[in-house]
Amino acid sequence: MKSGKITETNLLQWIKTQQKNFLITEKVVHHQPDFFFDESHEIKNVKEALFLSWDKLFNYQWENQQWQVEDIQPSVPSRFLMALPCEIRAIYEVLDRVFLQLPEIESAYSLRRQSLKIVILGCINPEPTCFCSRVGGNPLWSHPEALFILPFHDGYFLETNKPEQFDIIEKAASLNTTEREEIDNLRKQLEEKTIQEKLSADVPQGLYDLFEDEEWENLSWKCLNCGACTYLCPTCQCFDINAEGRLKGFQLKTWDSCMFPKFTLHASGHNPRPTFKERVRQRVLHKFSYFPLREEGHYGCVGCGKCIEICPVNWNIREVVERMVKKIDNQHKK
Amino acid sequence: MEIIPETSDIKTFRLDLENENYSHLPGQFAELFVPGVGEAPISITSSPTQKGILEFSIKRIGLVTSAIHRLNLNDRLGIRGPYGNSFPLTDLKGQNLLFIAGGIGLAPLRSLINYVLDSEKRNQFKKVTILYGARSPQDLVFKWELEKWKNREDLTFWLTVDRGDKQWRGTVGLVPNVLKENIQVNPQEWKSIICGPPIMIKFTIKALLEMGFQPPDIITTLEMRMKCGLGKCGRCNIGPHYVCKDGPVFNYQQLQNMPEEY
Repeated sequence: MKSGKITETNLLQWIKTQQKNFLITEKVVHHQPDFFFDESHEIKNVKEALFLSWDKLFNYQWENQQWQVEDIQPSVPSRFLMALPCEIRAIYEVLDRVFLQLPEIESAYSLRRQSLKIVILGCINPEPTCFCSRVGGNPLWSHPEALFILPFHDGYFLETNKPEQFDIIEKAASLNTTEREEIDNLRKQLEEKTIQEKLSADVPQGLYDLFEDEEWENLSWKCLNCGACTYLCPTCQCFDINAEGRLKGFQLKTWDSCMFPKFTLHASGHNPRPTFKERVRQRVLHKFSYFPLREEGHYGCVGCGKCIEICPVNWNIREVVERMVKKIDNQHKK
Repeated sequence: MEIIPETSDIKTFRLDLENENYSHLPGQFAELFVPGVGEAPISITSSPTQKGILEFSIKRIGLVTSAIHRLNLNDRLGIRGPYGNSFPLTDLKGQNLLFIAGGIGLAPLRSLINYVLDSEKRNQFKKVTILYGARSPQDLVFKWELEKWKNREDLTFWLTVDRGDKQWRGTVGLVPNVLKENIQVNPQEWKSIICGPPIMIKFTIKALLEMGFQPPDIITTLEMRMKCGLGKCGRCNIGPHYVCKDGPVFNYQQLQNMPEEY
């Protein structure tokens, strides 16, 4: 592991020289407004870097009395992505598990993934809507493949296992003992301040056992089924595939949302999730029960709190999960 | 491509495969693609023992199936797949098989029926009984093949309709009732494979349980709205199980452990 410190000026300089190849998330801008230098670099959530809201799969055209189908080479820019630990966990813990698992639906995700260099900005200002440690993360979570950066009194602390990918680490000066202590203290303080116990290992099965619970009905009343949460969620990965254009066009993969009634509507008119209750339950259980049951206990939620921040009616997934977890605990006591 | 009209809104499409290496297992499905319209998941009704072709029996019901119904003999159809698990061939080998189908529900079972009836496979299975029913004589599919089955000596074939017409001389009655009244098998020695409209499946399972069948010996296949076929697009799940990838074939014991969200 290579580490060191760098001045803010040098860090900003480095970001700027990457120009169009440096993406930062809205959350990063929130934490470090100085990192914002051009709107074209800012993305609402990390999935926009890999799993695009709108991605063409192939072209087709009716020509000379027959259909011509032509493959599309996906655009694969080599880029840096700077995001908070929770957001980056959405890539490693959820999106990778879905889209890198063979067989792939298309090659675009894995190609973009290979050429993405990840910068993690340690989170020193967790917000009231955050709950990353409840789902296995923490505000200073990092990954050895990434470049981890953390602001401290004298600039930024840097750390990575892949110095060849992040040339800025060459400019980093080594830390003296006092500075090391400062970083260690900062880590300790943050842990004490923010770390909550991870949800217990029986939660995924416990929630599944509560599938028929009447509480889902009550919990779903407030929700508008507008789907805003699913579009801004970094882990929501459901998509649709449609043909765009009658005689000339392309097959299109777009984000989709389990909040929409037509999402599961059969051609026959039958709908297995006909009301708000089934759809709200699906969104909660997919993240907190089905995904961990399939993926060795890894939650399909990273606790970033984005859905809580943006919900027009303050529907709060954390409160809902905590309420259902209490039900599991009560059942155990019985 | 050959097109066989089955009923007023069902046609069977027999496609000549352009890729000779394409292979599937009985019970799997494929995504059929019509450019400019879209894709739809359709079960493969032909048996893998029929080389070089694939058959799909398709009811005209949505955008894609309507477009497929408008295709002509020389048209091409895009295929993705095969997807899904299949009927559990290993478990079924050496067993007596009771097939029960309603309406277009015969299509997915037919891939297994013709596999079992293939001259090279037939001796791997014991007795075969088929019970097939539809709402009316006009709603029966694969009439051209039902005759062949009826005339075979190595299987028992029952045909029934909910309501007959002037020409109908056969059995009249709902599938679960015909099953209970006419088919006498020792449930310990038989496996049942069923498919049909949800209401028919529900009452047939009930009848089979009354006859003494154990839940793991009742096998069925489900349908769901699907897009990717690979367990990624997120809409066909029942609890943590993706119908496109973990299914579409499940036994009743598995279904009992799943929520009723299908």
